[in-house]
Amino acid sequence: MRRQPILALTLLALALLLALGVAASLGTVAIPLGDIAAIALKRALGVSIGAAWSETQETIVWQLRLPRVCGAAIVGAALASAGVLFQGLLRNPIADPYLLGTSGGAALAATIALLVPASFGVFAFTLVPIAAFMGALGAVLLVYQIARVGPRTPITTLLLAGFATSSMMASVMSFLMLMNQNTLQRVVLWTMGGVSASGWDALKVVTPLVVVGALAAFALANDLNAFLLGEEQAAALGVAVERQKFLALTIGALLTGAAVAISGLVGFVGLIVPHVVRLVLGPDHRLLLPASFLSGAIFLVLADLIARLVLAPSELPLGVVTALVGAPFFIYLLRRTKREYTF
Amino acid sequence: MSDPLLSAHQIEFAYNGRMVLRGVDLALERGGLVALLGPNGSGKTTLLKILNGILSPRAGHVALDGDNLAAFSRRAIARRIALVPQEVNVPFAFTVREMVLLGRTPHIRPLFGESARDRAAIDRALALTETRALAARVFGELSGGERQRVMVAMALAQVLLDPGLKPAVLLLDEPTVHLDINHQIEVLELIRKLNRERGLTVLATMHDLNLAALYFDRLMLLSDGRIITEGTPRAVLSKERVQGVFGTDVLVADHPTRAHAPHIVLLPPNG
Repeated sequence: MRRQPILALTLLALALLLALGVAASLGTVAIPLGDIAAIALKRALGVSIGAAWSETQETIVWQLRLPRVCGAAIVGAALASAGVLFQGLLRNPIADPYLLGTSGGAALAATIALLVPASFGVFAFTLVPIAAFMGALGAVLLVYQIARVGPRTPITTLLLAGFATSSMMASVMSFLMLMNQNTLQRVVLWTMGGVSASGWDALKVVTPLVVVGALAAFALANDLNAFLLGEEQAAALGVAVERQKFLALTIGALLTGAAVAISGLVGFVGLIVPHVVRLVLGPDHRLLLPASFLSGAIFLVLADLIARLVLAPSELPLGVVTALVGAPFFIYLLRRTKREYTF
Repeated sequence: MSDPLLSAHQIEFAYNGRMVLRGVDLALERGGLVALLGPNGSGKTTLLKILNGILSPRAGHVALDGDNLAAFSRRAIARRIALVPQEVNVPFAFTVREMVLLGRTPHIRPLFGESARDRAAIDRALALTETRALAARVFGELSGGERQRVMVAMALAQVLLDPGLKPAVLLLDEPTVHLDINHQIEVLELIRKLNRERGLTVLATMHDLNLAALYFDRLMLLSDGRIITEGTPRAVLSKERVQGVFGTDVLVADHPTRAHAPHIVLLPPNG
């Protein structure tokens, strides 16, 4: 498989389509896979292939399920891509999209937004997702500034600055929550993540952001490979280290912020998906990035499906499912791999 | 008279206020095979990193073909100067071929895959270093000697193998450290072969004076932040100089079978 990247990516793309279809067809009302495809074609492209379904079914599929599964796919793709970026850049196996203060920044900003009583919105969003996005992006840029030592930003100071900033923001957030007990549950729910609220309008804003971010990440693939040898060796191989590092951080923060804006904090995807893909397809970022993009999407679509079905009609928080499903699978892969998984 | 391929002019460098290099001048001629010697902490590695622009000197400058290195982009430098580091630790399971492909980094454009030219360069680098049989192996699982050969292959894919090339420089940081004697010989034989047969200009830091004397045409001795002497092994490795720089008693004999090389014998105080 390692020698056939095109085949691997094709299979993953097909698997994603299938996962999207299956996830949209299952629920309190089961709707046949064929109808899902037909409804999607009709509503998205105006191509009609006979209608054997009811108005209600069409509404369920088009207004509720499809935006939700597509939202899950976009969030999964964005988080997995960001995870690859951060792990490669920081050469750190436990790096994930939330490592450098993104989650802290997003959560704090979202908490503040949840405390604002007014419900005004901009574009397709209400205040919370916008605040979360800005918080995520702002936190990483703040961490980057703190970590700068002269012209350089060493990885160690970056990690430490990220940790310190996250902790500080987490404590401010706890304080705000304590002072405002009535919004506490909403904040907690938000931090557990979920894509139930995603709609087409939000997706129209976020999807281009994620696609552009993923393409930009892919353009850094060669440099990320070189980064794995350490920054000095990357420089010796011709990489403009500081510039590319700043680019990778910004793109990672953008992808994470976009995901957070739709879903709140969904953990584990950005950590585990890149590892799993690496175990199966190898560490070359030129394959790892697109494969993780697709795998992250598949993973989160299925995780959200489980979150919806297990306790139907009520739902599990998505973040709970991703950890519950993801961790054992990850451990299985680690144990199965004969080759030592070295860092 | 043409400019030397790579030269350093009055290089000064300090780590946290401690002066390491205090005015280094050196010139590396085309086709040179030169070892840089000096005690631990004398700044050998630092000097290598300054020579390929990874570190910026506090004062002075480096010139490539007579042009100030500061005017080159990182990519342009990397196409001419390769550095084989002392130790490389790769966090993920890269194969040997993928490692050597990394050497092509300064030639590959973003979003474009490796070209036929890149693949040819990789194949030739693998052949020259006799690592072709290892191509599918995982780098981290190789022996020290095999790894070092792969790192040299990466450097060759980086600078040596483009048609219409300008002369390239290979910098090596302690290429024989941590290796068994058979692997030390193997790596140095390879480096000398590349120098003799492919015209590669080589500058390597060495801590083993005898190996340096055996394999290199010229030696440079770095001490107190300056190159204090430069020349043939016989000229550089005199008893007085070695004792003065390294602070230990030695006897300089002749190598039993290699007439050109002096052989340094340690004289421990209580031996």
